Formats: sequence, structure tokens, C-alpha cells
Amino acid sequence: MFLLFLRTLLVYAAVIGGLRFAGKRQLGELSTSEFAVTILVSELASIPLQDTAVPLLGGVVPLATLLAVEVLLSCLCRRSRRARRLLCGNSCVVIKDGVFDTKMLRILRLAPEDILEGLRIAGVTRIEDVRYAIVETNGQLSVIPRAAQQPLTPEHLQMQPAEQGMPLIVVSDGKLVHYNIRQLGQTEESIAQLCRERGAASLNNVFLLTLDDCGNVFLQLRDGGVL
Amino acid sequence: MKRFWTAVALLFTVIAGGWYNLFTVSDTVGDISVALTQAQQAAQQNQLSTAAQFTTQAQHKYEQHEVYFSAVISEKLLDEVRLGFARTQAGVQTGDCAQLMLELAGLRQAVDDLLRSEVIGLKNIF
Repeated sequence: MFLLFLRTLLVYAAVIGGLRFAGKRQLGELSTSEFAVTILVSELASIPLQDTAVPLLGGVVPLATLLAVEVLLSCLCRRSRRARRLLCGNSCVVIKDGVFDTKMLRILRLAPEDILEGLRIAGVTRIEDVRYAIVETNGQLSVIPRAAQQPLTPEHLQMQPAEQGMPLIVVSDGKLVHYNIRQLGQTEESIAQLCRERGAASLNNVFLLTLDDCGNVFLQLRDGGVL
Repeated sequence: MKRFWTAVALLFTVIAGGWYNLFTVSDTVGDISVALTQAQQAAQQNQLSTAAQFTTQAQHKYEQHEVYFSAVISEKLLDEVRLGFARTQAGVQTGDCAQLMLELAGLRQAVDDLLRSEVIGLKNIF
């Protein structure tokens, strides 16, 4: 069992090292350590299931080791910049002021076509419109367009639109969601009152009621009517 | 921080459990080995009944810990031990001390393999 623990640590280190060596090309959305854990966990979980001769602990011990180490490493990365750089790497600028950084592309083993694909996904078609293109530590491409190419916002037009809150479900299928009611600083009575004011005969008639911190309300009755 | 300490506790449990398991397997295998060595010595001196007595003693010790072994050691290795005991008992029944010594050596090897599979060493790790 202790052997399994040691072997898991070694395999984990080997997979992380391998993925760091392979670079950002291999990743997609997940960080290096998360990716390593994901591929290892999926394999580990199936071993005791497929082979009943292997004790259940043979799968559980490596699984517990991996997940605990992953949590500890993420805590370490949060505290230490050096550890974060070692485990996750750095973000890399591949386009600056509309010009490819060829040295960085070579280091990342990326072709201009790969970057162009990322730009198209980000909705940018012309390289010269890009102020910065950055390959993030999880392998995704972030694109910052030049100021002239950035979308117009109300702020540019000196407008002040009303803030949008985050809608939370306060009544679901006729039942009050107490946690969300507390989050919004409301009471059960005020929600029942709101339903009555909106025309719902009783709480049981409400299919869905959402409320946000700006006072925006959405109420749908069981019969499909929106009030 | 709760998750951090949970992870620390989990790792500590795994490490402590690992050490406990190593010592338990080592102790049990050691006990069985002692009984088997005595059985081998008795068989060498043609004392069949003494050899049979020590073999039974070893088998009882193994059976006492079999459930634990099943939880931590591969069934393949345990099957070897079970087979070894069955062969040794058959050897006792035949009354042939030379044959019994051979079977005891095989059983001893299978029992030692239980510990070898758990012991921390470069051979096992890699």
C-alpha cells in the first residue's frame, strides 16, 4: 500500500514533467496538474472495476494520493510564484502590435496557422488588428484587439445603463429556496408578498421566481404564464 | 483552508496506513515463515507429525489474516499461497518427507512473495 503511494507520486511527477515538457500544445482548458490528474484518475478508477483480483485499495490509495497532492500543489501554487511557474508555466505573448513573435512560436512549437485558428475562434480575422495575443498556461489563446478594433461600449458613448444583477432562484416549483433568499437579504414573507403583488394566487402556483440584487424579477406560473 | 487540511489529513492517512500495512504484512509473513522454517527442519529430520503440526500452525496464522490480505494484496499472490498450503497438506498425507520439503519450499517462496510485493525497494517501485 505504501508502495502504491510512492509509485503514484512518481507517476504523477512523471506525467506532470512530461506534460510540462510537451508544452502548452497538449493542454486545453485545464492547467498542467489538473490535466495530469484527470488522465490519471480516469485510468486508476477503472483498474479495480475491470480486474476483481486487484484489491479495491489498489485503486483507492492512488486516487486519494493524487487528489490530495493536487489540492496541496494548488495551495502551494497560490502561495509561491516560483512553484506556480514551475508547475503551470507562464503565459506567453505570441503576437505584439500585430507582429508574430517568431522566437516564442518556435519555443512553443506552434505554427502561425495555429495562432490564426485561435484568432478566428476569437472573432479576429486580421493579424494587424491584434494588440496582444497570449497563449495562456492552460493552452488557450487570449486576444486583445487594438483600441480602434475594440467593440463600442456604453462608456464610449457617455451612457450609463442600469446595472444588471445576478438572478437567483428564490422559488422553484412552488418551494422557497431559503439559501438564495438569505443571499439576497430578503425574507420568506417578502417573497410571498412579491408573488401576491405579481398576481400569483399562491406560492404553489409559482413555477419559477428569480430575483437579483438590483430588484429585477422574473416570475413564471405553473400554467406557463409569465408575470 | 478546510480543503487544504483535509488533503493533509488524507495524505497523512495514506502514509500512516501504508506504514501500518507494511508492518502488519511483515509481521504476519514473519510469523508464518518461522512456522514454515520449523516445519522444514522437522521434515528434514523425517519428523512428519511435527512438520505437519507446524504447517497447520502456519496455515492457521495465514487464515487469521486472510481477510486483511485480500484487502491489500493481489488475489494472484494469495492464490499461490492457498495452493502452496493445499499442496503441503497433500504432501503430509502422502507421508513422503522429501516431497513435503519440496512443497514447503514452494510455500515458503509464495509466502515470502507476499512481503516482497509490499516491501519498499527500487525493484518494486520501478
